[in-house]
Amino acid sequence: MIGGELLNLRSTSTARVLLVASMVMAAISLVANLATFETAQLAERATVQTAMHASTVATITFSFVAGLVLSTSDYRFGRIDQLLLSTQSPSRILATKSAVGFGLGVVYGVLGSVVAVAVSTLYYRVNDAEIDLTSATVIRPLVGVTVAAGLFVVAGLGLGSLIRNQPFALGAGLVLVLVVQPPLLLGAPTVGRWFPGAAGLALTLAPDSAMLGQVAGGLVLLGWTAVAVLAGVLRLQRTGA
Amino acid sequence: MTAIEVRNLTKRFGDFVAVDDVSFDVPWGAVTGFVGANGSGKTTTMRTMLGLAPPTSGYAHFGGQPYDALEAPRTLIGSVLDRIGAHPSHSARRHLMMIARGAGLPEARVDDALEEVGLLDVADLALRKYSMGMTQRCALAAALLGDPSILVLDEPANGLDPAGIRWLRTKTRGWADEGRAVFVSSHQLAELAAVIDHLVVVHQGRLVHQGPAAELARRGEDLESVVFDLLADLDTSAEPRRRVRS
Repeated sequence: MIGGELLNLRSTSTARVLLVASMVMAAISLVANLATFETAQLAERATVQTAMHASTVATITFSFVAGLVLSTSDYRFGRIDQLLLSTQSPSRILATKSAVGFGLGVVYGVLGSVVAVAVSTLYYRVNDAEIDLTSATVIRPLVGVTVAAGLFVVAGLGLGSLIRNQPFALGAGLVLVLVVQPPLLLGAPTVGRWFPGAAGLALTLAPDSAMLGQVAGGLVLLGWTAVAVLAGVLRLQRTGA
Repeated sequence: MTAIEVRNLTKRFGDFVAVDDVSFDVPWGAVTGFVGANGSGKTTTMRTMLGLAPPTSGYAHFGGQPYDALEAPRTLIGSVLDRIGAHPSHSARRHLMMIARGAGLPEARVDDALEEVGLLDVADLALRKYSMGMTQRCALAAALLGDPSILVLDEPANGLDPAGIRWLRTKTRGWADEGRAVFVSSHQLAELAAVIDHLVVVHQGRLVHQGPAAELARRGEDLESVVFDLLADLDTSAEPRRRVRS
């Protein structure tokens, strides 16, 4: 089944368009963030951490959207019928899609990291400042975003399989991540940090003391991702295509 | 053993009974027409048989097994459904290749299937550029990909021009003559009358007739008129479609 899913991914422009958009947004976010600092502050650890975090938000948001669009497209165009006619195991279908989706997310994360490194190198050179690209302050968020992007694509696939209606899934997913969770994280951080968006930000080492640690954030996001995929499997089992 | 055995199949959506305790058989080496007015439950019956919608109760067996127990279902059953199930930007070849890879079928079958339905020359054109008839032929190619022994075809003549309908009739007859079981739905009985051996008629989700087509035609009228009369009688005498408390 993986061969069919990979071919589907290669055959539709959605994943590529969203990848380019995520790389552009990562670059813009990074530059916009760095531009708020004085040149003298650029070498500070906190500045590098904030800038890296800014680039990762774009990558994980677009990864989530990619997962939502890819799974809801199966229902929009009826491709789910063809998948079920080949195997009537919803868990096998979602497991295959999750494996391919995680790989896609890793590509998003790696290319987003390449953009972050390239743009920050250029920005620091233009401003006669120095950045140590081998430091943990740079490496850890970029490793984190690579894993987080993979998990967010899979979470999007699960949520998309649960909701099915493409506009509604996109609206609900983005409202949850961008509208509901941020104020919750600010107003009630002890609760908000357990939500998937905050867990994803923790995995990318967001500079916020209210967040979970990087590993804990990754585990919580993994848990939410598993819940989303399981919900998609159950919906497919209960209601069919 | 019959090719398809449907027993007490029921499908409810809330309190609406779309398919109501339907039982019938589809024999090998024959074309079985599945007839009923629009909204009579033909598509839901077929989707439930194929496991695309879980039945409320009852079952459908293909060659003695439920669809979900088949190791390689596409090598036994090919189906044309109410929608082709492909992204409109994909070509017919790409669509079939995806199905072949997903189902573990040999990729060489893709061109064979496209040739059989007469789409080989336009196989790399995006599906959104296809006419409705060409799209139906592509759906048929997908059904034939696994060289199946059973064909379940939901309104396969939709969108076909008169030449296409004639081509489909010849193909359908040919598949049955090769020993395959062909179960084909239509709300236009005239399209089917020339090729069917057996007939299953549904009305408001319930089975109202099944048996050899010749049995009905023996009444002296053509098959289309006999079935129309049968359905008209039911419209005036039968109970309305059943609703249940969910």
